[in-house]
Amino acid sequence: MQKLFTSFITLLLLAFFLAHADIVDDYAPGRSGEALKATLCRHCRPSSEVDVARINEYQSLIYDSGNGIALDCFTGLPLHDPDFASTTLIVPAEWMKAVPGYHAEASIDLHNMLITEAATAIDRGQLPLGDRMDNYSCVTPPTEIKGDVARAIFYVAAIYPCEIWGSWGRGIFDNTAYPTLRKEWSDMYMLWHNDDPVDATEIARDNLRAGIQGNNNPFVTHPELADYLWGEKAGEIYRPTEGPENPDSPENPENPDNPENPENPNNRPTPLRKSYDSNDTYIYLYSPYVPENATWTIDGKPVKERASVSSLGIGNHELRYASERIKGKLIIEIRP
Amino acid sequence: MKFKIILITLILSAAACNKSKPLDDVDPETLKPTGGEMNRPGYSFDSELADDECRFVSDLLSLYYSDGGVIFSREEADASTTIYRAVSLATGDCAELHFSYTSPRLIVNDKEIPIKSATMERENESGAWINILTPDYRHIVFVVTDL
Repeated sequence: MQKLFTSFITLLLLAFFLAHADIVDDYAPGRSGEALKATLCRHCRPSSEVDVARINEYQSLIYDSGNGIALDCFTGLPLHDPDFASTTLIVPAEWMKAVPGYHAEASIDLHNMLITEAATAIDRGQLPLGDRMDNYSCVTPPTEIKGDVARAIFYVAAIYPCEIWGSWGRGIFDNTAYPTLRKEWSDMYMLWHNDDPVDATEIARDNLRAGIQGNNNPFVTHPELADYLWGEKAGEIYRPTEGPENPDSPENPENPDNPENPENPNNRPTPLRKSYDSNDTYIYLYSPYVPENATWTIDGKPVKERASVSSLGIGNHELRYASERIKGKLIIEIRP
Repeated sequence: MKFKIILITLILSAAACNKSKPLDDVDPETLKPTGGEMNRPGYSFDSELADDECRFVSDLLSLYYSDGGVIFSREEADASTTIYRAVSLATGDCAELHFSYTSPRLIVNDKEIPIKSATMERENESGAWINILTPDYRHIVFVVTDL
């Protein structure tokens, strides 16, 4: 039965990965702050409803230690008796207001769940997971899952609308669209996130959840996102992957600042966005909202694949595209 | 004692005789919900026709071409349906009208918005001016020109 179930999940995973390109890389680059968070909210939501009756079964599979026995997230010990295992929500549903649709969805979102002994779950109740905070009693998870917990909290903060937070929740999350997570809490979770980076086990668990409910946690697949929302790069335009550290010589072809170096993050194709500046080398003529086979013009002149920012000059430029059935246009701005 | 009884009787009688606003005198017309078709304010689309900037203007979301970073597009979906879209690259905010004369549909940020009608007020080689009416008689303007 366990084998059959595992095969079923494997098939689900396969179907999921065939059906989904990298949503974050498609939509997030070029956005910052609130727009970046709104993009994750729009595109990274669960696409399948989790069967409530099977949550414990899913949890046992996700936290399987390899021999069919799940590991307690808080103690790291095997949960030999499933009858004494319990799911605890990382962000409790009681912190949320009954916003139609979202409250129910958050309550069964596998990315927001840990498995532990029932007694531990009862002891924890609705207390936040955190290190000691002023005015708050917290339950501190083991060091080895602190990063996992932080990324789950980032996920909940990004995926669910800010209106959802009520009562206890408002101590940690506020009702603003961004940053949503209060500063003292986001600072603590960023520390957890950086001290306990994503590892192979977390990726495997994330993929299992994605196979069941149709979405990955974008902070596991793209850990750098957290830094752009709540870390040192908060407010900066998101670029998917950073290049290597800057070596000594500016003439060095491997210098990431060298415009000819394909590893220069500014040279990696990013989807079209509203504005560009001198940090950008090229405007890449693609977008998840435009058909791949479209032909382009900029200011009336045909252009293929990309245009150099310097050749266009500062100011507004009109881009037009056409494919067999679709025509469109937009204005972009090049700033000094 | 007698005086108290007489006083209470007088007060109760006065209250019972107060017919300044009897319930059955209420004009039934005033009980109708407001905002109905008959008493909604007049609306003219003329000023919209005079403006050829691409735009989607509604209470929920407004997107203007001149703001930059907003894609306006037209897709010939099939023989009877044309899809007009406006997408903000900065926010991902998106409005999409599946225009057909029989069953138009409006989708804003991936959610279908109920509409009463979508009227093509003007359509020519330069573009389309569409007047969308919601069930509570609010007007949404979708103009896609010069593609």
